[in-house]
Formats: sequence, C-alpha cells, structure tokens
Amino acid sequence: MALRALSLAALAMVAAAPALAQPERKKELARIQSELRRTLIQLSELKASEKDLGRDVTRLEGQDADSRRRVERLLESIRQAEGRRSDLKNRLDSARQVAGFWTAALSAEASAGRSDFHGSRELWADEFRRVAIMEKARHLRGLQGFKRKTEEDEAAAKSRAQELSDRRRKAQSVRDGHRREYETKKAELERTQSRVAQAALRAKELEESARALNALLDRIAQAGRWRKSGPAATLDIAKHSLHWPAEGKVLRGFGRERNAELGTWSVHQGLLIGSAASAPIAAVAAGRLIFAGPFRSYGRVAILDHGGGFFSVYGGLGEFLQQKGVDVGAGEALARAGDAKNGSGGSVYLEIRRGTEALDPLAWLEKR
Amino acid sequence: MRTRARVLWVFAFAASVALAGQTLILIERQCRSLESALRSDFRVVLFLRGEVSEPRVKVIEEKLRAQPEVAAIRYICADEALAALRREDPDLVDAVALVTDNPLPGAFEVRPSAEALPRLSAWIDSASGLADWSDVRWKPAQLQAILRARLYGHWMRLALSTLLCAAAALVLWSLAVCLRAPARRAERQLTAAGALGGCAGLAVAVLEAWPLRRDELLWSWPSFWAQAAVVAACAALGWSMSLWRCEH
Repeated sequence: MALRALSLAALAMVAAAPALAQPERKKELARIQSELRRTLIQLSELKASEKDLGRDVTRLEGQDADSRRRVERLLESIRQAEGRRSDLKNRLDSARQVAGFWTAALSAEASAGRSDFHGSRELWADEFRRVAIMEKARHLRGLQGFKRKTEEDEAAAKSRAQELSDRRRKAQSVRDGHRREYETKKAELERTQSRVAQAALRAKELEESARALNALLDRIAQAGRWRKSGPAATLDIAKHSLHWPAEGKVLRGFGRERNAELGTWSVHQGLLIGSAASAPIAAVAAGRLIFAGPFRSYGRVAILDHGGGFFSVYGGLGEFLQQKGVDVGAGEALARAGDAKNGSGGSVYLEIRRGTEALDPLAWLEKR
Repeated sequence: MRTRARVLWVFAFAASVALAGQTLILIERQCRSLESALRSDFRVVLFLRGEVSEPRVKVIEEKLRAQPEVAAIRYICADEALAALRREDPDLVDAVALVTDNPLPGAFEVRPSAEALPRLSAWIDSASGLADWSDVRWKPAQLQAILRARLYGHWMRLALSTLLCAAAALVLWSLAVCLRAPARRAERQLTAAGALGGCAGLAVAVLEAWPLRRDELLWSWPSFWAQAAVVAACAALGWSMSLWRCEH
C-alpha cells in the first residue's frame, strides 16, 4: 500500500505539475528517494537477518546431526549393554547349575560309607576326598565369587542400560528441542525471505515509480496545458463541503501507518472508502476529467481538475462512465467502483491535492 | 549206685568247667586274631605338603626310620597313590579328576610296632616336626579296637592261666594224696569221668561256637594243646574230687 500511496502521490504531482513549484517537486522527489533509501536499508538489514538465520539453520542442522549420531551411539551402547546383560545372566545360570552339582557331589562323597576300624587304604581315599573337597571348595568359592561378580556385573549392566536409556531420552529430548528450534527458525527464514522478496519488489516498484514520476513531470512541464494559475493559486472551496465519492465507510485513513509485519512506515495520502460492488463513484466537486486510465499497480485512475491547483484523484476504479477531457459536475458519477481486495463489495481510493500537497480528504468531505 | 551218681556229678561238673574254659580259650584266640589283623592293617600316613624332591624324601624317610618303635616305613608318590586309588575306586578318581589331575600329595606310610600303639599320639607328635606335613592320618577307632582286643586277650589269658594254675595245684594235691594211699578203682572212674566231662564241655563249646564261625571273618580255632590242657585239667578235677571224697 505504501507503494500505491507513493505512486498516487507521484500521479498527483504529475497532475499538479503545472501548478507546482520546482522546489516542491524536488522535495517530493527527495521524500520518495528517502523512502527508497529506507527501504533499501531495510532490505539490506533483512538480507543480513537472512544470512544470520541461514547460519542458525546450518548450526541447528549440525546440532541435529550430532544429536542423531549421539542417539544412535546411545542405542548401540544400550544394545551392547543388553547383550552383555543377557550373556552374564546365562553365565550366572550356568554357575548356579555347576554350584548345585558340586554341592550335591560333595554331600554324596562326604556321606560315602567307610569303616573307622579297618582298612588303611581308606586313609588314602579319605585324603583324596579331603583334598578333592578342598579343591572343590576352592572351586565353589571361585564360583560363588564369580556368581557375585556376575550379579554385580549384571546389576552394573542394568544400571548402565538404565543410565544410557535416560541419556538417550535426554538426548532425544534435546534433539527434539533442536528440531523444533530448527523448524521454527526455518519457518522464520522462509517468512523473512518472503518479506525480503516483497521488500525487494517494493523497492523496485518505488524506483520505477520515481523514474515514471520524473518522466511525467518532465512531460507536463513541457505541455503545461492545465496550468491556469501560478503555483500559489488559492482554492475557493469551503472545508467539509465536498461530496463523498461512495457511501461506504472509510477503510483506511490518511497519513502515516506502520506496517507491523515489515516494521516499516507507510505514508497514505488519501482515503480508501468502501462501497457496494460496482457502485457509481461520484465526483467530489465539479471539475474536468484530465486523466482516465490505468496507471501501474493502481488499476483504473481518474483525476479531476477543480481549478486553482485543486485536484481529486480516484483510484482502484472499475468501468469509466465519463470520457477524459469532459467537465463533470459535483456528485456526478465518474466510474464504477472496483472490486474490494477482500472480495466483498467495492472500494475507491480518494486523494485530494492542492498542487503537489496532499490534503486530508476528511477535512474537505462533508461531515457524516 | 552212689559211685555212679558221683561219676555223673563229676562228669557234669567237668563238662561245665570245660565249657567255660573252652569259651575263654575261643575268646582269647579271637581277640588275638582280631588284634593281629587290625595291627597288621594299621598305618599312620603322613602326607607331605606340595612337591618334594627325591633327596628330600630320602632324608625324611631316614628321619622317620630313626624314630623309635617303627616297624615298617614306605614312601608312596602321588602318581602311585592315585594309580592304586584308581584301581580301588575309579568312580571317585574320575569324579575328582574333573577338577584337577591329581590332587594327592606324596606320603609316608608308617607301621608302628605293637609296643608303640598305646603311645601313638606321642609318637605322632615327635614325627610331626620332621617335615612339613599337610596332613597326618590314621584310624583312631582302629587303634582303639586294637588296644581293646589286646586288653581282652590279656584278660582271657590271665583267667585261663589262673584256671590252669588251679588245675595244676589240684594235680599236685592229688599226687600228694596218692603217695600216701594207693589208688582205688573209684578214683580212676572219677578221673575218667572228669576227662570225659572235659571233652564233652569242649564239644559243647565248639558246637555253640560253630554257627558263629560263619559270621566272623577273623575266626581262629584254638590250638590242640590248649584244648588238651583243658581236658587234662578236667580230668585232674575229677581225680582230686575222688580223693577229696574218699578222705571224708
């Protein structure tokens, strides 16, 4: 809309060119150029922001890859820990079986029949049993130690698996966080890129408008056919005496408006007034239709010269009802309203200019 | 009639004495046999700790041999002991071989003399300092059995000796009486009744012991002279009784 306002302002300047002084045109041009510079600065800032976001996205992608690798390593560790735990459990069961076997064997041997009164050869068997029992006891102690150690290992493996599982969950949570942050940043990057593209387009349009304005100013300055008086001509119209071009509500006011999305200010030099679809758009005052046709992105535009350097500009029109160059009476229909941007009803953009100066239409239109 | 009754009485008395004497002889013989069997089997086995070199084994053997009251001594190495044990109880050896090859150490088998048995603890104490033994084994119950068999044998021998002394005294007394008066027919009958009673008592004792013979591994039959002595003692008893009766 800022571009539209600037363009309409440029049109108004073109229409009022014969009545404007050269310094005022330069002033308007400087204002547009200033707006262009600001937009270019914003563009560069947005590009820098885009680069930062790109770096953030790259960093987040790296973090995401690290997190994924970490999670995979943790999963592998968990698998290994589970395998080791299963192995230890099998060994523990084997140790229990062996211990049970030896315990039974020792009991059987300890209770083996023998004579206390005869048979010195039994002394050798007794000694053999004794050393065997000692060996087996040592072996049993080893088995019990192994069993204990296995149980400890199993408990440690269990604890390790739990710890790894916790770490995995934590890493997964961190990864999810990184992923969410990445998605957010990515969406933000896309939005910023879109805004950058819009800003670039707007800057381009502003540049073109500035060039077109300069060209029109040159042509009108050479023709000078509507110049009836000097740049300091007076206006004999009382305030709050002009007709409303349409019956609808004011959709957007006059003056500066901040664009919250882009963080920039736009200058509106006219009103956007709602109307019924294809409703007739009336002239605010009597005057000559000096321009009727499409102009860049503003659609169909009509400019009425009310004399004394006073112009009214109507933008976003539909079908023209008057021919260029005819005199139109106050309240007489100029054209039909164009379609509103929101798709319901129609609208018309109205500017009132005195020379190159844009006036607040509400100060001149009849009070409602 | 009275003579006949006296003969029967002497016969029965002599048979009872012979039965008791033969029983004592059998028990004494059994104790002696049992002691001999247990003593011949009795060993004190001194097991060495760990591997010991052959010269060291020789030294220890000589030290043991120098100990008093050692009847026999023999060193048995671990492999030899295991081989012998495997022959006697292969299942046991195979069961233990699961754990290790041969857990047995080398050992000395000592057979103490009979006189050393009552003082075996003292003997083992003196032998314990001769080497680093991992274990010293013997069968205390076997030792107790030997000593008890020896004790009962001595006891039986003592009783039999007393009885034989008494019989000898009777014989001497009878001879002294006979020197003063010639022998009569009744004396001969009672002497013969005593001898016959002794034989009958011996026979009864043998019959009583005969079923036990199959139950006892260490059964030993009394010597002929011991039984002849019993019969002679019984005859002397009958003879002396005839003399004692005649004088009154």
